[in-house]
Order: sequence, then C-alpha cells, then structure tokens
Amino acid sequence: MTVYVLRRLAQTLLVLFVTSALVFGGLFLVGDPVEILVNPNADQAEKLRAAAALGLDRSVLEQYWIFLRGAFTGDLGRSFVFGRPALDVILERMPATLEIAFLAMLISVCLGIPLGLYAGLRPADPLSKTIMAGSILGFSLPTFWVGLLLIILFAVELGWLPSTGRGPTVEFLGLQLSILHWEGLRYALLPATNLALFKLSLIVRLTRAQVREQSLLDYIKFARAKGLPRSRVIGVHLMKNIMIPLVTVIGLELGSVIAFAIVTETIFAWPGMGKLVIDSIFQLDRPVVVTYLLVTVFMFIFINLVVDILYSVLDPRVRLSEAKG
Amino acid sequence: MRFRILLAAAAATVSLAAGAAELVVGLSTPITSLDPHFHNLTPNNSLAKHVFETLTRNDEQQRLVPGLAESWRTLDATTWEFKLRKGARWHDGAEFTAEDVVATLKRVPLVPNSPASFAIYTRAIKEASALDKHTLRFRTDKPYPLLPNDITSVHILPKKIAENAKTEDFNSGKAMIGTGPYRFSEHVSGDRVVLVSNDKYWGPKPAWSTVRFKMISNSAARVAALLAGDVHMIESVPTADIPKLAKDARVTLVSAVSNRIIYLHFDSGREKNSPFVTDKAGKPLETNPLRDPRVRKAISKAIDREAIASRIMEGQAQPAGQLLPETFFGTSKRLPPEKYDPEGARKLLAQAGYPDGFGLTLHTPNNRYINDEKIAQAVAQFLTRAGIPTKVEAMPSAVFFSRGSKLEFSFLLAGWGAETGETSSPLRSLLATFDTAQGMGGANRGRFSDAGLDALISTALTTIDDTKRGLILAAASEKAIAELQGLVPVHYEISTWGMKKGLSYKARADQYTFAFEVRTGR
Amino acid sequence: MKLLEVTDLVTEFHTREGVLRAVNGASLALERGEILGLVGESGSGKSVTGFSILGLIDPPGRIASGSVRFDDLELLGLPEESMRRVRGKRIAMVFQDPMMTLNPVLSIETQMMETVFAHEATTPQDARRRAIEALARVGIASPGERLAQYPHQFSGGMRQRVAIAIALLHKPELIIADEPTTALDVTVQGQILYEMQKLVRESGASLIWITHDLAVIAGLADRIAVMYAGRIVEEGPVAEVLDAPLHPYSRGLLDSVPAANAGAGRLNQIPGMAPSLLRPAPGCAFRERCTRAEDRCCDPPALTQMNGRAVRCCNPLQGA
Repeated sequence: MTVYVLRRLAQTLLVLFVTSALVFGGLFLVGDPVEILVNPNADQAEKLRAAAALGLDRSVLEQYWIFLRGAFTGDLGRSFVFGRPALDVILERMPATLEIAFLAMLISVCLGIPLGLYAGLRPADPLSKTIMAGSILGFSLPTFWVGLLLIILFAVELGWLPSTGRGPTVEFLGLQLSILHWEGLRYALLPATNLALFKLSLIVRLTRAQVREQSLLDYIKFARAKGLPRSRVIGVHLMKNIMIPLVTVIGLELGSVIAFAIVTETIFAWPGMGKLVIDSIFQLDRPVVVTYLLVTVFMFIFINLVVDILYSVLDPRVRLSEAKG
Repeated sequence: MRFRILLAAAAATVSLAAGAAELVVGLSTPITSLDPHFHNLTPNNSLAKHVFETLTRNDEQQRLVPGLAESWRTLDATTWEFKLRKGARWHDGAEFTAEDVVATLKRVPLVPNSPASFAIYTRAIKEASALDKHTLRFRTDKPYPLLPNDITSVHILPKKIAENAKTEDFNSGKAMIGTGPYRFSEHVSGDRVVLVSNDKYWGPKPAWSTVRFKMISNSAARVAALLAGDVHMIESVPTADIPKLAKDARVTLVSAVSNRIIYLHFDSGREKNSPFVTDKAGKPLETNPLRDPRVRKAISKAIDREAIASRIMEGQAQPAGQLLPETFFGTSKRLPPEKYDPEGARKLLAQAGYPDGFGLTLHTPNNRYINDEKIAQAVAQFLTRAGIPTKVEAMPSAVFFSRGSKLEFSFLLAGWGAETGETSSPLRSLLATFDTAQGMGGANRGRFSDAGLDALISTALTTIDDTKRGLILAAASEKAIAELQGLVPVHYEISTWGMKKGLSYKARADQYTFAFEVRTGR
Repeated sequence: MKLLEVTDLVTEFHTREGVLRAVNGASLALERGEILGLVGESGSGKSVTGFSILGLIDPPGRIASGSVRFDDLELLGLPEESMRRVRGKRIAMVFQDPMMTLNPVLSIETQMMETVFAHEATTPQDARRRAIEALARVGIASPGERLAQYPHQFSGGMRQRVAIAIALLHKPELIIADEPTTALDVTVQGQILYEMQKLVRESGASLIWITHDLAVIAGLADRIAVMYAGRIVEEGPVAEVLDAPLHPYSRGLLDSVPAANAGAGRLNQIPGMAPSLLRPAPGCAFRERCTRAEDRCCDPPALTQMNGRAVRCCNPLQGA
C-alpha cells in the first residue's frame, strides 16, 4: 500500500512536470502578455518596462528554468495581474469552487442514486420512464442556457433565490465556506443545481443500467432464495455491487465538476477558480494559468488515488499492490 | 468546530432606513487590485476614485474640473503651479497637504511587479516641490500641455502610506486610506467590494451609507440581477437587451457617447507582399493596394455606418468621421462620417488601378469591444459587395493584439479610448510614425507614416495654449482622416447604464461607474 | 400427505415476439425424504419449474396458473413476506454456477450470518457458531478462518460447498438443486454429489435434483421426472424408468448417454431441435422428432398412469 502510494506520487510529479512544460510552451505561443496587460495608452518604453518587471524580457527557456527552480521551492510564480503569488490567488478562490462542486455532487448522488434505483427496479413504471426522459434532457440541454433559465425562473420571476454572486461565508477549518450559512446556502443553490444537472442525469442513467444488469445476476436470486428481505437484497447485495462502478464515475466527475465549473461560475458570477482561470487566460496571466492546471492535475490524481483506495475497500477482489497505476 | 460569522452584512436587506441606504452595483469587469498604482485598468481606476482622489478630474464629458487641486496655471512653458484644496482630510483624520502629493508622485513609478504602470502619467514631471502646505510646483523638460489631463489618473495617497505601503497592504485594506467620499470596507476577490460613506468628506455628502460593487462579467446574468432586484444598477448593458429594457417600467437606462472609437487600420507600411492581400483568385498580391489613400477612401465609402449602428449595435453606436465625437477637445467641425457610397467606392478603386478589386482578410478581436466580431462581419460584407471580397478572422484579444503588434495582419479592426479626452491621444498612438525613442505610434499597427502629420502632432503636444492646441489638433485630424485616410473610423461606442426606476446617473464618456454620482429622484 | 405437489403449473415469459411458455402445465409430487431427479434438455423448463416453486420468477416472467402445494401451504399467491419466510428456511436452493451465486463483495461470514438472521432472531455469536458448523459439515477445513474470506478466495468446488452450507443452515424440508455440479471439474463433481446425497439423507430433507445428466440421477434419485417442452412427459421410480422408459423421448435421452461399456461406435442423438415454446403446435410437442409418431399424436396426449409410473404419450414404448 505504501509502495503503491509512493509510486503514484512519483508518477504525479512526472505528470505535473509535463503539464507545466506544455502549458508554458502553449501560452508562450498564444501571445505576449504585455500587449494585453499594459494600458493601451502606454508607449513603447512602458511596454519594455512591464516586460522587464514581469520577467518577460527573457527567452522562454530561461523563463521556464526560473519557473522550475521556483517550483521546487514551492514558489509557482507571481500573478502578472494580481501581483500576488499565483498559488495564493488560486487557493483563495478554491473554497468557492469546491463548495459548489461538492454541493452539486451531493445533489447528484442523493437524487441520482435513488432515482436510478427506482427506474432500474421498475423499468415499466411511468414514473421510471419520466425519470429517464428527464435524464436525457439533463444531458442535452446546454449548461449555459439552463443556468440563465434558472436565474430567470427562481430569481427574476419567483424571487426565491438570489440571482448571482456568493453569499456570506463562515470560517471552517481555515476555509471560507458559504454553504454552512443559511443565507450563503441560498446563494449557492442555483449554481450548484446548474452544475449538478448533467451529473445527476449521468448518475441516474448509470445507476439504472447497473441495477438492470446486476439484478439479473445469480447472486441476487440466490440472496432472495436465502429468504433475505427485499430491503437487504437491494440495500446491501445490489448496492454494494453497483457502488463499485459508481464510485469510479462519481470520483472522476467530482474532478471534472471542480475543473470545469467555468461556465456555471461565469453565469452566476461565482468567484471560484473557473472564473479566475478564464479571466487569466484572456489576460495571458501565465503564472495563474500554469498553477491552476498544476493544481487541477494534482487534484485529479489525488481523486484517482482516493477512488482506487475506495475501490479496494468496496471490492475485496482488488488489492492495491496489484493495481496498475 | 468554530464558526465565525464574517460577513453578516452581505445579506443585508436592500432598502434600509432613509439616509442609510445601500447601493448595489453590478460591474462588468473584475477588479484585480486595490493598489491604485499597480494595474492601470478601468475597473481598478473606477474603484480607486471612490476612495482616493486626484488633483484634477474629468466631468462626465471628460472636461477637466478641479479635484484635490482648486486651480492650476503655468508659470512658464515648463513650470506648473497647483493650488490645493484646504480642508480635505484623510480617512484617518489627518489633513491633506502638498507633501502627500510629492510622496505619491515618488511612489508611482516604483511599484514592484506592476503589469501596467501609472508612471506614464507622471513621467513628464521631472520635479515636484511643495512650496507650502497647499501650493505645488511641477517642472517638465519640454512644454507638456497634457499634464493636468494625465494626473486625472494619479490617485493621491497620504505621505506615510505612499512611502511605506506595499501592494499587499492595499489588497488587505490596511492602506486603503484616501480623501474620497467612500471608505473601504471589504473585498472578496472576484466577487465584491464594499465601501461605506465617508461622513467627513469635504465635498457633497455621500448619498449612500454603503456601496456594494458586485462583479458580474456575464452580461445576461448582469441584466437578470438587475431585474431580480439583486443589484440596483449595472454598467455595460448588452445591446441585445436594450430594446426590451427600454420598455420595462422597472428600469431606467441612461447612455452617453464614449471616448472610444472603433476603427479600421491598414498595412500602409509594407510596399510589397502584405500578408493577407490577395488578388480575386486568392493568390498573394505583390503590390500592396492598401498603401494607396484612394483605396482606403474607397473602403471607407463602401461601409454603411448607419446600418451597423442601427442594426448590429441596436443604436448603441454613433457613426464616426474622425477620432473622437465632436464634443471632445481637438476635434474638427468639418469631419462628418463618410457617406455610404458603393458606386463612389468602385470608381475610386478603378482610379487606383483596381477596377476588379482584390481580396482581403479582416482580423478582429472577438471579446474586446461591443459586438466586435459582428461589426467585422458586416464590414466584410459591405467590402465584398463593393468588389473587395473580404474574409473575417476573429480571435481573442490576447492573441489579436500580440499578433497585431508583430505586424502579422494587413487589415484589422480595433478600438481606441482617448483617456485624456482629447484627440492628441489617438493621433499620437495610432497615426504618428512608429518611433520607440520618442514614444510615438505605440499602437500604430499599420505603420502609417506621414511627416507632415507627425509635425502637426509634435507641435500640438508641446503647445500649452489650449485654444491654439485645439486648432492644431483639429487640423491634424482633418489631415489624418480626410486627406490621408490613415485609418477609417467606423463608430463611437455608446455606453449604457441600467438602473432601477427612481435612480439617476449622468452617463459618462469615460465609461467609469461612480456610485457617488448616483442619485435618487429625477 | 405429500411434502410437495405441483399441479398444472404454467409459467410464461412476455417477450417482444410474444408469450413464451417455459412451463406448460407441469405436475409433479414429492414425498418427505424423497429424492426426485428432474431431467431434460436445456430449455425444457426444468430450471424455471424450480424457480417457480420458490416464487422467484421476475418480470417479464410470471406464473400464469396452476398450484404449488408445499406441506399445508399453497405457495402460489402467497403474500411476499410469507413466501420469504419459506425461502431459505423450509425450502432452500442450490444454483448451477457457484462462481456467480455468492456475492463477490461480501464476506462468507456476512453471507452466512445474514441467512441465519433472515429467519431467526439470535445473537451474532450463535449465528457465527452455526455458520462455522455448516461449513465444517460440507467439508471445509478450518472453517473459522475461511469464514472471514471472500468468494474469490475459494475454488469453484469450495464455493459450491459454501452455497450448500448456506442452503443447509436452517435444515430445510426441501432442497432444490439446479444442476449444482455441472459447472464443476469432473473430479469435484463426484465429491459434491456424494456429500450432497449424504447430507440430505442425514437431515431427512427432500431433494429435487435438476439435471440433464441421467448418469447422475441413476445413483442418486428415488424417482425421476422427464421434462420436455415445459411438460413432464414421463415420471416413475428411477430404476424402472431407466431400465424400460415408456416415452420415446426418455429412450432418446438414455441412448445419448455415453455408457462405460458401450465401446466404440457413435452415440445416438435425438434428431432435430427442441421445439419453440413461443407458439407451440397442438398435440405432442415431441412428435416432430419422434420415430414413432403417428397421426393421432396431433391430439394433445394425456398423462397416463400405470403401475406407479406415468407417461404422456399416445404411443408409448410398452404396454399400450
């Protein structure tokens, strides 16, 4: 187990290195940050000054070397735009993204698994057919459009929930979280729902497919032949088996929800990492973009590791030492 | 587990008791730094002007008015004297004096890591001295008439802060001590900035006890927030929503023509092999037709500016015939927008030796100006109709400006906001010959060059007498546009603010959103 | 009184093509302590008959009609909770493929203890003790340790022993074994067969052994029922039926068994294919493949009783 985790960490470092090189090179090709950052009224002298101040007057290889040297001491560079360490800028925004991502996954899981279970156990029921039709809608409607629809319905027309922004926060374990505060939760509800819709549909469909597949298997029939109550057959025998593929998908989807909350954050003016990174890309704020991607890659790898460990907890057939990285 | 309610006020009700009302404003662009000398960016400057003040400032039509300076004059061509306001106090109670200004001017060029320095506004001042508590003297190397205009962007700090504070101290709020009508209260990066009224303000009493700026970049969401009542006022109302909002009884719209022109720039530098100029078959053309003023004039005639302003901009644009709307300083009365005249365009093309036209690619940013890509598409259609088949290539501004500055384009659409409020700004940056040493032609991405025009611009930039300078600038505009066609103006953007019924705002040409200018009642 | 009496059982499956009658009026009976071999080709309905007795037919299948009398209970139409109390307690079942029967993600301990708790409110200690006893009874060495393991740590034969141990936990009155040795290695088959027989005899339970393998039945069962196309076509004491089958289909089955002393020579196969159960033609379902078929076989033959045997044929091999 320890060897396994160490090996994964080594792989992580390699992936982080490659990512940083790609992003560095990629952003260098996109354009010159000075052109975007300086005031248009600035003359050539000011452009040269800005380039020198931001270290952009050096060759790209030199800049990358400076970045790598810093990265080994934990310094991922200073944001061009904010003038602060890029990691600080991202970590400051991270709780906002994490909280709607988790809230969205919570909604998806808490609604998706029961709905999928129902639709899988009673495929012919009209309610099941409604659930499945709804899940197709959830899949196919564009996030952007649904987001605006939610705002117009719940904020403009009904006036139940705030339209945009983040509400008051509460400090918890050093993080500023808004969902632990009732008023803050009201702000988070619409963006989280918007974010959850696609994942919810995915989990409903996946759960249903798993239920349909697993319930035909002999072990379910044997469990019933033993005289187990239905609740135990479904709640323990069926659930434990469908949880294995579900945990994998939920883990990966959690990663993707965190990394790609950009559209939702933009529509709901939610001050998370996604909105930050979009602004940073447009402003060619390379330290922030590079750091964001590194943080994201790291997070994906971390979630994968957690999923693998969970997997081995759920499925006795898997032992981590045998698992391939 | 310890729970600490940090921001109980965030959820405060929208309407409080009279005299203690809150104003919530939806901004279109995020504020990136609170340090007023770190990143020269419209939203940053707009916020800074609530907390800090400047010696001079612009009124809503960008005419100079007194700020912390009550009056100013030139003693000779290179010496300026500013009389400062008495009785202005810092938020911590200390008195504002000339020493504060001197210290501020020292800080401006030295802010570390600044991506867009404010030093461009202080560079002309070679020496600043405080004669007494309320008299300042500035010396410049050359006559520099724009000094009072430039310092509308220099936010004055108390001496102690100017000498010691770092950018972090502003972001944390510690150093946010100004003389302005509002005091800093809270900043949540990317989400909101909250200000409270400064009751000891020397000027008119602030109308709002609290001002909350919320950053809502998505324009549809910003409109929804206004309609939902979550914000009281928004800036940059999207053109598509204007007809609907104009009919909405809950909303008032105000608009003003801005200092930003949308224009077409040509490769007038290369004689041969301009990268995106082709013959009608799409083969590269050896000679560069864009160097011929008749061709540029033909392009100008081929464009129906009225149609673009009314259909694409929903009326939120004013067809342009020069570099700034006529109300601005240094404009000419003799430069109406070019009339739509496709026949005339064809004739000019024939005269220039291109009776069959040629092919072009118009490069444009797609996230910088209002409807930028759509305008480019329309221009391309008009040109294609006039015999110049034109393709459009749109890209994010991050890519566009880098490539443009490397002269990778032949024909481009861009915009220019005249910060100083006079035509010297676009003339100097867009049309003067590119010259790094002199700092001229910095945004001249077509490398247009005309010695006569350069001479006019240089003269204007050293003419202190406003009347004379105005006439020279008007003449330079006429030469640059009507005679040389150095660039083709398309339109001036109109900026629109939306607010709930019962509020009023004097729409500004410089596009700033100032909460202290928002009033209740008609 | 018989322990089990199945009468005119009809089990249908609703498919896209139409209604499929997997069991089409099957009847059989079993005394206490008796072992019945239920034989037939795959698709003859023998497994479905087994599941129908336990009420484990899921949509799109349903038991359309008939009666399943177990002791003094009518199992068809019994409320779900009452039926649950019969399953695993009074009637247990052992499945064909031991690799699929046990839940892969639950420990053997969990799967055994939950079976105890499903029918008895007892202490975990007691449930555990009984699980260990049951494992020991089916010949699993160091049962205390193996209890904590998961199915994938057991071989196929061992897993089937575990399944049998689970079936025997509550000393059921009837065990339905659905080809429990088919999926196992030949060497293991014999052991399981032997132990199963021993355990059933010891406990005095009745056993329905569903198989396509007549050789297995010969040494194990008291009586035999031959199933074809959803019907019992012949039924009687095992020795008599195997010695002198009455139904041509039983004959065909016997002829296709590779006998140890048969020497070389090809095995006899029953010509043709099992009939479709979707739209059965009236009359004897076997007549298309039967060498003795006559015109009157087109009328549905009735089950004829003779000397403790029964046959469903218009033209049986003996007697008529």
